[in-house]
Amino acid sequence: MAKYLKIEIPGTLLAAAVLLLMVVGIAGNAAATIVGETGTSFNLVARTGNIITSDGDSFLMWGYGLESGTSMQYPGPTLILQEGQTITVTLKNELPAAAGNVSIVFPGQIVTASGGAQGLLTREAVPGSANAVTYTFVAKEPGTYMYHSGTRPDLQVEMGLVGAIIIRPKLGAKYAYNHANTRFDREFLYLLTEMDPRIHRAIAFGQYNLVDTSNYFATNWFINGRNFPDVMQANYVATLPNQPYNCQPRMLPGETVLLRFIGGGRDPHPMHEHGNDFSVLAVDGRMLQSAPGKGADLAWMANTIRVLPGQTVDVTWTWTGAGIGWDIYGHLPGQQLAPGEDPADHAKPFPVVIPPRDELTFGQFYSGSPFLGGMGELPTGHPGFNAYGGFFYMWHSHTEKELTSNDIWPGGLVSFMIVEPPGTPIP
Amino acid sequence: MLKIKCLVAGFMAAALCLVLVGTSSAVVYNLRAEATTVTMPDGTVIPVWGYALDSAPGAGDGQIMVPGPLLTVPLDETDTTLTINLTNKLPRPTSIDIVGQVMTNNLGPVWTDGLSDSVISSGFRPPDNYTARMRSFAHETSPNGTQTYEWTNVRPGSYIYKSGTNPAMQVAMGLYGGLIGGSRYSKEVILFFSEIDPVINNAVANGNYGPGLPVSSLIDYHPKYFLINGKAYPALQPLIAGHANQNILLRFFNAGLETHVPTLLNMPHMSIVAEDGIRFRYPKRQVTIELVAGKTVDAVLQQPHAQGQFSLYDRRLNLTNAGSATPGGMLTALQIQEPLVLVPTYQLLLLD
Ligand SMILES: [Cu+2]
Repeated sequence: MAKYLKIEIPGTLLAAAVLLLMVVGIAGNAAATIVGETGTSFNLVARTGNIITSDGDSFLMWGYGLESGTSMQYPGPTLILQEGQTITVTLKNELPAAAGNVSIVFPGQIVTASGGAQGLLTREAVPGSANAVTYTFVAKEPGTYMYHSGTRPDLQVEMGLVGAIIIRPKLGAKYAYNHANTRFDREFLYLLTEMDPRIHRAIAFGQYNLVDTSNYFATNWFINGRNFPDVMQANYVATLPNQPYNCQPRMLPGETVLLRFIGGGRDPHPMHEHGNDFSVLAVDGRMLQSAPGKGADLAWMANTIRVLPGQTVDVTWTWTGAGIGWDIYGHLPGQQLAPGEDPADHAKPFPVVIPPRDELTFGQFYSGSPFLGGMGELPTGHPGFNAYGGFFYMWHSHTEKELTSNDIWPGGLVSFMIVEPPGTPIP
Repeated sequence: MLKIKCLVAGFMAAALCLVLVGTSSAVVYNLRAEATTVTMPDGTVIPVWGYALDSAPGAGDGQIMVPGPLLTVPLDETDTTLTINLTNKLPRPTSIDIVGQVMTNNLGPVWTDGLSDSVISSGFRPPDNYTARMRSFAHETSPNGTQTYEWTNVRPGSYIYKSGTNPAMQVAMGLYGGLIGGSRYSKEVILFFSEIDPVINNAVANGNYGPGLPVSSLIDYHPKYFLINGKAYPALQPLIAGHANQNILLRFFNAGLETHVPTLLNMPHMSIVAEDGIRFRYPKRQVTIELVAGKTVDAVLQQPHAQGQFSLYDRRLNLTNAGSATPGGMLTALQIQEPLVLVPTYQLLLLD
């Protein structure tokens, strides 16, 4: 078996490369923002559906979907709330009867539940019933949170019943918390989950008795419900009907970006950012502060953050090219600074003599020029994924085996931050 | 004698009261290590090794339990020494080790010749012997023997005591318990996390554990039972925590081999105030606690907003008993009682 797998790997890699070609061809225009549902009232339904993994596989899932739609989604709808508002979430259960009841818990919120049947952690929606269970809470404090099933969570969270919550502060939509030092220009969501395919296969074949969550062993990993490179596709792309959310961070030099990490599964994931260190602002929706009103004065710098299951971590990251030691724009002495450029390296020459083209290997994200915004000549057949001459920084799990989808590399917990040259339109 | 002391911690903006019970000049515990069995909620009976608190060394009148009895050293002005008289009723040598506390006698590794069980040195590695293997962190107590272990300068906080001899096997068998340096708070909850892989325990009990035997080591450790205070849900009843207008201290311990993430639902964020017995300069406000193997974490629940039962579970989702479909594992609830009518502070001080 192992021998066959080895023989098949080049073909699979080729398939992955072709998929990458299809995907990233449009990534240059993929929206780099957090999308979700806004409002104070949300009507959700738990349904079954299938998702597609980057190795070309397909898995049965249970997920939360909007009652106004017909499907489930993985993860559930991202609920974008305003601080201080009273929130109502209703849940109906359209899962097969064998799945039993289903519910939602909101860690970090103080929730009142009504309707449905009393369960272990909260009130639950009974299968097939028209009666919804209703959860209400006040979105009391801003921050990043999650929701997930409170009914047999060891199975139901694995099956996909998990989603993100963002509570925006009264201070404004460009702040993470109610303090000036939490301002950001762009924000990105990293809801991390993993999958043990054996459980999904057993459920799909109705063999519930084969499910043993104490043997849990993940071989698939997801950011916002997709593996790499599917994370680079657009939000709501038609080819991934039940996986609406992408993860395609893009920014301009000098901007501050906010990353909202959520440990949605059951394993910890050490997420690592290339290109610069980041500042850890908040955990579980609370600023790291020494006293109220201080802002995130206890924020600390790192380049790898362990995201625990059930935990949320907010970090900010910025990039100007500072410290790189050469002018990223290739400016000559006397030329003007680009917006956001670090003056220390202005007009410093590129330290490498670029070899002739036939001695180079051209990576898929190479624009043909080492300079930001530079577009050089590319060999015939190069996919040309780098539409604006941006710098691609890999943001990924440092548990390197998680950079796969069912043993196929690249996949899993990989994304790329694209630092685009000044003036690039970023939707 | 009952003494109550009140302590105002600046960041908590409210008083935590300490109750000191029956202090004496020396804190001496007579622990007995012995084999017994535990029964899981699904009826599975598992051989374990545990500790009992006896009235005198070798008295044999205490009950063996897993985790072992909670030990406290009040740490008042004169009293900072912990003495444990360990009586060994196990078939193997054993000892006691407390990470974060410095043992003041009998400390030092114990070496075997690496081929058999024979001890060749207690203390230094035998000179010029490069094949000796270390088996114990502290001097061993032989089967049927009794030995005294002493810590003369106990540090305050929450700690784990456990077997210091072949701990990979003996801790997995159940030889662990909690130690609290300093007085216990009047309102505190002990949440002691651990796991059991029955394959390991059965192999040890049946003489099938060790080099060259069917189960050679913990390399294939896959726990099937996930315990808080030695019990899995539904055997674990709600834990009475305190009253809604009190600050409640939650002491988390993890003697298992895996990371657990205790999470409390429908409550304001916990204030994490210390880990490994070391106090933070600023508390961390979190819903989740990172409780890695061998860790202790102290967190304060600041004046819960309401009375009732509030679920506490492992967010690593170890919520099954050996894979069963019915709820199990690391799931319990904190029982918060109705708000207390507050007694004026001077009355509490009169009791001191
Ligand atoms: Cu890397």
